[in-house]
Amino acid sequence: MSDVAYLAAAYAAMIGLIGWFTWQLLDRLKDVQARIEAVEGSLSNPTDSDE
Amino acid sequence: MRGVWLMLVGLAICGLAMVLGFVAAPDAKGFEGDSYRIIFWHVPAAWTSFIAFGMLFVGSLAWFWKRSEWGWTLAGVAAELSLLFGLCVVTSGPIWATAEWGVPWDWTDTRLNTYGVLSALALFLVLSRRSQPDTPEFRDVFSGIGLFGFLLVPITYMATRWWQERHPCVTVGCEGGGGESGVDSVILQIWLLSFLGMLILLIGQTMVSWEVQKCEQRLAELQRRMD
Repeated sequence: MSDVAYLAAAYAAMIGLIGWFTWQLLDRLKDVQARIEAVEGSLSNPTDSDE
Repeated sequence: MRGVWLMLVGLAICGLAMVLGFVAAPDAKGFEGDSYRIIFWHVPAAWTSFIAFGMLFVGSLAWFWKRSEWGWTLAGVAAELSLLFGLCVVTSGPIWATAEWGVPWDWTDTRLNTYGVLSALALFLVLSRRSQPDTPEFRDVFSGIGLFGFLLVPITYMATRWWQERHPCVTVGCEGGGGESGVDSVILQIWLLSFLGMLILLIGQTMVSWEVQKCEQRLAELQRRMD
C-alpha cells in the first residue's frame, strides 16, 4: 500500500468516527424528545390509560 | 440549535486544516513521504481528548465532593467525548505507524500504552453507564474511575519527554536547535487551526450531548411518575 493510501485510510477512519458519533447523538436527541412528548401526552390525558 | 451549528463550523475548520495540510504544509524533517500529514488531525484530536478527560475529571470531582447533578451530567457527556476523540487517535495512529514503522503498535512505547489504557477506560465508562442502573453506588464507582484515570493524562502527555521511545516527540514545546520549537511554523499554524476546529466541534458536541443527557433524565423522571 502506498503512503497516500495509508493517509486516506486514517482520515477516512476519523471522518467516519466523528460522523457516526454526531449522527447517533442527533438521532438520540430526536428519539428521546419524541418519547418525552409521548409520555407527557399520556400523563395529561390520564383517562386514555384508565379505560 | 446552536450546538449543531457549532459542530458544523468545527467540522468545516477541521476540513480546511486537512486540505491545507495537503497543499500548504512542507515536507516534515525525519519523516518519509506524505503519511506524516495525518498529524493535522491526529495530534489535535489527542489534545482535544485530553480536554475531554479534563471535563470528566471535573464532573467526577463535582459528583464526589458536592453530589452535584451537574457534575454527574458533565461526567457522562465527557466520557462519551473522551471515547470519540480517543478512538480517533488510536485508529489513525496505528495506520500511520504501519506506513512509517511497518508495525501498527509498539508495546514497549509508554505513550502508546498509556493512551491505549485511557481510551479503554473511556470505553468502559460509556458502556457501564449505558448498561448499569443509575444508583449512588454506581455513580461513586464511575466517578472514582474518572478521577484516577485522569492521572494518565499528564503521564501520557509527558511520556515522550521523560522516556523518548518510538513515538515521535514533535509536539509543541519540544525543543529543537537553538531552544526554539522543533515544529515548522506553517505546520504549527495548520495544527493550531485544526485544534481550533476540534475545540469548536467539542463545544458543539458537548451542548448537544448535554441536552440528550438532560432529556434522558427527564424521561426517566416522567416514567417514574407514570409507574
